[in-house]
Amino acid sequence: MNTEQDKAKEIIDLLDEGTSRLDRKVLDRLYTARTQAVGRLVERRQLAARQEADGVGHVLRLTGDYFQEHRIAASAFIVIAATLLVFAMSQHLTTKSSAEFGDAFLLGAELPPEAFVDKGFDAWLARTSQR
Amino acid sequence: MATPQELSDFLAQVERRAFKQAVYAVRDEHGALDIVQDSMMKLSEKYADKPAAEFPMLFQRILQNTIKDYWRRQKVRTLWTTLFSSFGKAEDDDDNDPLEILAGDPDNDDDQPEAELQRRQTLAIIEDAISRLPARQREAFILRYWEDMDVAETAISMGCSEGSVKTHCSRAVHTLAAILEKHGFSKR
Repeated sequence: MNTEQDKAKEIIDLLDEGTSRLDRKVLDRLYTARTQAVGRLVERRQLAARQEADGVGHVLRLTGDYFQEHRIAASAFIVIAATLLVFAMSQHLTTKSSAEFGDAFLLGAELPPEAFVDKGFDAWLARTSQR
Repeated sequence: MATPQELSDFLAQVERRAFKQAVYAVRDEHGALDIVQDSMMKLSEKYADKPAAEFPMLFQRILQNTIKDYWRRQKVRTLWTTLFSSFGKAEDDDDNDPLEILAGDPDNDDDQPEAELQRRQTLAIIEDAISRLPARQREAFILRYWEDMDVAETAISMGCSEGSVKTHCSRAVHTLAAILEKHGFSKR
């Protein structure tokens, strides 16, 4: 009486025959897929070897692989970072010029700084300018 | 770390069985080729740095997951096809029943010996039966007997217990053996 193993062996023999009779087109397609998979591995290994030779390969490979796999997120990050940088720089430059104008005005004026906080000064200036 | 040659040798060894395995699961040769191609690429991109000895289990896991992904996409595609079916032609139902193909192709009978013809018919019957097995039984049978994995390796690949593997295998073999007996196939 056949055991489970023997029965399975009969079935497997049939299946092996089936794989030996695959269509030519199917075999060509399988060959192409295999070649592409191996080719991809060779490319990655060659790239890694070149980066290692450059000396900064390890860091670049890590970051490069990360950005390669997360292209959309990386692009969005770069755009947002650039926008924030431009905004920060524009704010910084605007504030600085205002401060400079304020200091320069006070330093360049002929009147002492205390005159500008004297409330009677405006009235005197108005009388003298009418003479 | 596996070499490109080791990867190539492994893929050459498994590609035909992987294709047939995918065909049994999805019953579509084009879909099966896509599945095998995707699986090979995933193995190359994500696990080629592993030792070559781990490739059989890894590849089987990848192959099964890729088959499941295919089914998920098919479900979504079928849903949209059903929703918009009134706007287009219905797809032809071209399920290829191997028995019908063989029965309706008398031209081959004259050129082939009787035994060879019977063997091909038996192969078609058993392949059809394998396609109709429950997915887990089919997977266990193929990994255990066709990919020649032991029970422990099969359990790891399938993500189940060793007891489950034995149960699935036993049921699959009994089902297939019964079909072979029913059609009068006996070992020479």
